[in-house]
Amino acid sequence: MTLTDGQGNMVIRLPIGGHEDIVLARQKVREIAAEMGFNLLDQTRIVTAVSELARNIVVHAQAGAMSVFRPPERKGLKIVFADQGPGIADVARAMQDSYSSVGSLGLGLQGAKRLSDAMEISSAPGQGTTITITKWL
Amino acid sequence: MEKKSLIQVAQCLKGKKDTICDLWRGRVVQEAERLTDVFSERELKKMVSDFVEAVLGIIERDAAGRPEPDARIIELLEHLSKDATVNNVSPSDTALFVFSLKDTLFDELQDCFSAEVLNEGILAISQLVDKMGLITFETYMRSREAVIKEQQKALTDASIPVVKVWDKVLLLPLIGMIDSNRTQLMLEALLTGIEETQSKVAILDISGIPIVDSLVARHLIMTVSAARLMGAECIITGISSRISQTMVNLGVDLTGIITRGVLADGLKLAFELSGQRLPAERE
Amino acid sequence: MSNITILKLKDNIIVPIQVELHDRSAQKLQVDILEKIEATGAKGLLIDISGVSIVDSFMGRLLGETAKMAGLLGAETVLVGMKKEVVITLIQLGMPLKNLHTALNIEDGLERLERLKDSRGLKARVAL
Repeated sequence: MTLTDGQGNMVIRLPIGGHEDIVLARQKVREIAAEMGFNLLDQTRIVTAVSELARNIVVHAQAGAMSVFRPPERKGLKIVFADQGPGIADVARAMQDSYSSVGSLGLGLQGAKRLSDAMEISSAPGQGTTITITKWL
Repeated sequence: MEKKSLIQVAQCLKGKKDTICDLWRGRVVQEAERLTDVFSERELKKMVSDFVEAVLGIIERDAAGRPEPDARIIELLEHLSKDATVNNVSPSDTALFVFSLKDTLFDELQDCFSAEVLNEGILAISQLVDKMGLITFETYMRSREAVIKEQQKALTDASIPVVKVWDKVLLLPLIGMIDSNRTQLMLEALLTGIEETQSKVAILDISGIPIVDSLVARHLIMTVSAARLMGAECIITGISSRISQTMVNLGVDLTGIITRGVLADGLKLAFELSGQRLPAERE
Repeated sequence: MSNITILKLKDNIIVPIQVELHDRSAQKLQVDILEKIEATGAKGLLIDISGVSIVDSFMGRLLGETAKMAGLLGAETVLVGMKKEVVITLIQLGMPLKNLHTALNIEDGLERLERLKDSRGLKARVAL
C-alpha cells in the first residue's frame, strides 16, 4: 500500500474503534518500527505512544483511524491519529491534566509527546481531533 | 555531446596512456607536494595508472550524453580522499591531484585533433574532471564528520563507566557535565549494568561533576527512580560541602534519595543494603 | 485472551506475566488476583513482568491499583523483572510508580516480600 500524500508514503491505515484495535495498532507499528531498524528502546517508546493515543480515541471519540507514514525528507515514522470525536477545547490545558484524574486525556497526550520527537495537534470542539507524532530513526 | 567525437577522443588518449601517466605524475609532484610526502613513488605510479584507466574507460564507455563518474572511479576517489584525510593532506591538495589530470589530458588532446573536435573533447573532459574533484571534497567532508562522530562517541562512552565493585554492587563514577544527552546514556548504561549483573545497589559518585544545579539534580533523581523501578537501590556519594549548600539553597528536594558524603561510606551502606557482609565482619 | 496461571507459594501469590496484556485481559487478571488473595488469605503478591515489553499508562495505573487493592486485603505487593526499555519509557511517560515495591527478580522479590510482611506486622503492633 503506497499512497503518497503530504506526509510521504503511507505504510498502513487502521480503523480504531474498540480495545482490540489498540492491540492491532500496537502490533502493526511494532512490526514496522522493527523492520525499519529502530532500536529496542525506540520501538518501545513508539509503540507505547501509539497505545496511549489509540486508547484516547477508543475512550473519548469512539471511532477514528491511525495512519502510518514514512516521511520523504528523513528516515523515520509519522503516525497520524484522526477522529471525529468531541474535540479538545483547550489543547494547552489538556496537555497539562494530571494523570491522577481517571479517564483523562492528559497523561496520554503528554506521555505520547514525551516519547516522540515531535507532536502536532489540531482540534476544536465539535470538529474532531488530529494528532501526528514523529519519530526519527 | 557527439558520440563520434568522444570515441575519437578516447582512442587518441588511449594511445597516449603511458605519456599521460608520466606527465600527470610529474604535475602532481610539482603542484601537490604534500601528496608525495604521503604516498611513495610506487604508490603514486599505481594511483595515477588506475585513475587514467578508469577515466579513459568512462570516456570510452559513454555512448550517449556526458561522461559521468561511475562506480569504479568513485571508489578510487573515495580511497584517495580517505587516505589523504587520515594523513592530514588538505582537501585542496587532493583536488589538485584530480585537476592536474585535466591539464595533462588537454595537452595531449591537442596533438590529435582539429579545433572543433578538440572543443567538444575539452568540454566533456572538463565536466567529468570537475565532478571528480567535487567528489573528493564531499568524501573528505564525510570522512571528517565520521571521524569526529566516532571520537565523540568514544569520549562519551568512556566517561560513563559502570564498574562492578562487588557482588551485587555497581559503581558509576560520573565525570564531567551532565546534560540530558549524557543522562540518557548514563541511564541506559546503568540499567543495562543492573540487568546484566543483577546488582541490587548502584552507587552514583558525583564528585567528578563540577556543576550540580537543579537540572542536574533532576536528572539524578530520575536516574534513581529508574533504577528503583527495576528493583535496584541507588546511593549518591561524593557530595561536597559546597554542593550540599548549593542544593539546599536552590531548594533541590532530595527526599527519598540516599546519599553519603564519601564513597567509602556509600560502599559500606551498599553492602548492608544488598544483604552482604564485608569480609572482615564475617568472623 | 490468554489465561495467566496464578501460582501459590506458602502464603504468597506469584503471577508470572509472559505475554502482552491488553486492556480486557489485564482487567480480568486484576479480578482473578484479588479473588485468589481473598480465597487463600495470601499475605504476599509477586507480579513478574519480565515477559512484558510494553507498559503504557493504562497498564501502569492498573499495576498500581492492584497493589493498593491487594493491600486492603492484607497482602504486600512486589513487582519484579521490569525490562530496562519499559523502565525508561515509564519514566519518560511520567509514571515513576513510586508507591510500588520492586525487585530485580523472583528470588529477590520473595525476600523483599518477607521483609515487607515483617515490617507490616511491626507497624501494626507499634500502632497499638
